[in-house]
Amino acid sequence: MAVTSVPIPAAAAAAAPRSRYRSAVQLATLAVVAWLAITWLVGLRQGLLFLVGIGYGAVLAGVSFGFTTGWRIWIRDRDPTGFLAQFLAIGLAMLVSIPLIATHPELSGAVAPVSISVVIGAFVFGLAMQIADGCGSGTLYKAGLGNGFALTVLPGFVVGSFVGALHLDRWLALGALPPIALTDHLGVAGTLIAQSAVFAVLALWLWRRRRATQTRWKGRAVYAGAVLLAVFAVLNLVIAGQPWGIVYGLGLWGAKIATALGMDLTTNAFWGRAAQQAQIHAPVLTDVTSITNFGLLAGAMIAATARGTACPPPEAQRASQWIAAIVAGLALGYSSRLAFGCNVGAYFSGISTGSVHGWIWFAAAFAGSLLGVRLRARLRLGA
Amino acid sequence: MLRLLILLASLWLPSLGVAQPLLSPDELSARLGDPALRIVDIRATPAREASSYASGHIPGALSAPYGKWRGPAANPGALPDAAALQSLIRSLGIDAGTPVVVAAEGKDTTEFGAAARVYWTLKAAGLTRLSILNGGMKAWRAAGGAVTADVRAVAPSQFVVAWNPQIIASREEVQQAAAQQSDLLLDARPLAYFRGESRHPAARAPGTLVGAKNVPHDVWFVGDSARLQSTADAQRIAAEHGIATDQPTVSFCNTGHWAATNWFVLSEVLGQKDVKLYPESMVGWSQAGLPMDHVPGRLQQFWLQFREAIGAL
Amino acid sequence: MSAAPSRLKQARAAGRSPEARIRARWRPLVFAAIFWALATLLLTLDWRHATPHNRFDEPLPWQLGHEKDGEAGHCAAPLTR
Repeated sequence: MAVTSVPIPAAAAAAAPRSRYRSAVQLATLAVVAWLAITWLVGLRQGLLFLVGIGYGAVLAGVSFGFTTGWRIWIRDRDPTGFLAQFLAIGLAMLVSIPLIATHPELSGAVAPVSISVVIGAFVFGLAMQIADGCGSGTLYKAGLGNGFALTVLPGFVVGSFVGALHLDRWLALGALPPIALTDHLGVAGTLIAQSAVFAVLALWLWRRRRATQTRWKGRAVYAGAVLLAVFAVLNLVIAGQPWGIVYGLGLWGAKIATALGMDLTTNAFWGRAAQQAQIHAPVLTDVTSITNFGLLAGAMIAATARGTACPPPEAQRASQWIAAIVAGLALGYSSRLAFGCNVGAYFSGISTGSVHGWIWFAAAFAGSLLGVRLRARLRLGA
Repeated sequence: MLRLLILLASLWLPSLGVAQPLLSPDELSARLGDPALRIVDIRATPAREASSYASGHIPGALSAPYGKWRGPAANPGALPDAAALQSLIRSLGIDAGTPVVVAAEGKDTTEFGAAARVYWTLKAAGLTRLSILNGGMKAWRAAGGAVTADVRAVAPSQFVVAWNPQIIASREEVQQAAAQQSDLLLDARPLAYFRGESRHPAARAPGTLVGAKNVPHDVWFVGDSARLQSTADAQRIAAEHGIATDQPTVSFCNTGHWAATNWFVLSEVLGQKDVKLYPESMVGWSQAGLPMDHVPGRLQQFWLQFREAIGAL
Repeated sequence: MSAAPSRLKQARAAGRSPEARIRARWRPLVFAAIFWALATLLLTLDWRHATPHNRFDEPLPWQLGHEKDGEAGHCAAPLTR
């Protein structure tokens, strides 16, 4: 990692951490006020989920836990750290989530069909996330900490996921099997053993092929972050009755805006359903995925402020690169709806709740990322 | 000879319009010979179960499950549609002056409320010679009463529904009574509902009417059975609760089911004047957004939710 | 990434003129303020125009141990309702 050569006066360096923490504490106070307001307005459950969201954001920004970057660093430098941290997070979440879901009918896993749209959507998502340098969680946490590029990707993401849901039934018509829950075929223990084994084999393979490089992740922080993500993901499941998700909320924001602008969604196969119409017309604070998204934004902001990584100055970008950001956002949003989730909803939550579509998402998205990393170099979008 | 006289008397007295609100199984058995008598079996159990109308009912009884006497699903306590009620009563061959006995299963205190509600509905529609089988089918079978699976055919009547305002409290009347605190408002629900700690799923909010008094519907019964205590005991219980009075009284609950029991005891058994039932009760009242008492504040609501959530873990 | 440039370094990088320094220092804060002001505005508008929230219809604090009501809110959710 290049070290800057501009000398910083000692006093400024000493003051910087203290003023960073002070700003972070100020922001944290605002977050507490927001939490109280949310609890008062929409109840205890939404308040708790907001806190869980803050947890996600603080961890992601605090240890720079990037799913996208983790894959890219492996593809480019053969550094497996990011990948291994992901496996740790998903594996730990899985060990608690799958037994819980099997014994409690009131908790749902990520239930999605095994469809052609998952393969196509995940591939495009994997590609686009490398272009945008951010997946679902990555875009959100970077937007939360004030990254201009991520903030440009976000609106496209919202529009894309709204339109993706609009077209979902047509994509499913291309061919889809009903959802396959591994616990139905292997039982709880069998599923845990099988998935752990796959992770172990993959981890070993990655470790064998690693190259000695200076890893961007210092020390064990990223693994501690992985453990914390698993804890928050399990809390998400226990509190909301459904696993961690991101893109549904973004699409809902798009649907609300579209409805407010006069678009009639009542005839659409997805947005016209009774449950969706009710959610469109209910306050956004009552939606589970939206509230964890808001928390994620807030938590990322606080952690980044404490670390001093908040609001990085935008590198001078050519206009074509800003356009690429918008297009990538649209692609991310649209493809993640086809794939029934982004890296969080499909990869993390799909695998950790024992749905086969999660593994299909993983494979297709990784293939897309291989291409995406090459394209990124071609477009000279930076490391 | 004496038995014949008693039998003739028991047949003749009702024809004078003197109806007993509660009939014991023996008393009902004595009247089975009357072809004008209509026994309405309100059980709603599925046909294949042992305690259903299809498996065995009182000879001559007709089936009219409880649900047919109620309002729409969103507001089950509301008065049924007059035309629908009229055609139901006509199909049972009931006309003005027909003696009617309401027979329920006799399972528990809440199930008695169903019989009381049907009794009230018939009286509200304009009928006068009404009774409830005390203890229901359970008591009938225990007393050795005959049961049959034969379904009797009756000719439909020409009955016309004429709502009796003396026993129906409309929403407007209750609004006025609550505002002026002029009537005795009796909440027939268990204490938790009265205190606003629980609510019926169809109600918009928990709570009770302003100034209401809580007299749970089950105080009138022997244990959890569907047998009412004696009239003398009921009088004593009413006096203890301070409701043995001729002050205008409105009985209510969630959907006018439990409240029917209180109404029945006060109006029919104890013979108090001016006792009305508020049929849609708190479900209808809260849906209309009208003022309520004992509505938990936000913090109290959080505490109640927390307690309920912990309780299930 | 190791420690990102502090605000002071940002100012230096932006150039030596005082105006450029001030702009570099305050711009991210201004953007953040605009972003959060916009977010608050949208949330307020959404609250005002949505169906009124009935606090008694709220679900219990957590789902574990209690029957489920309805489901809309996940990308991968049963497509039956």
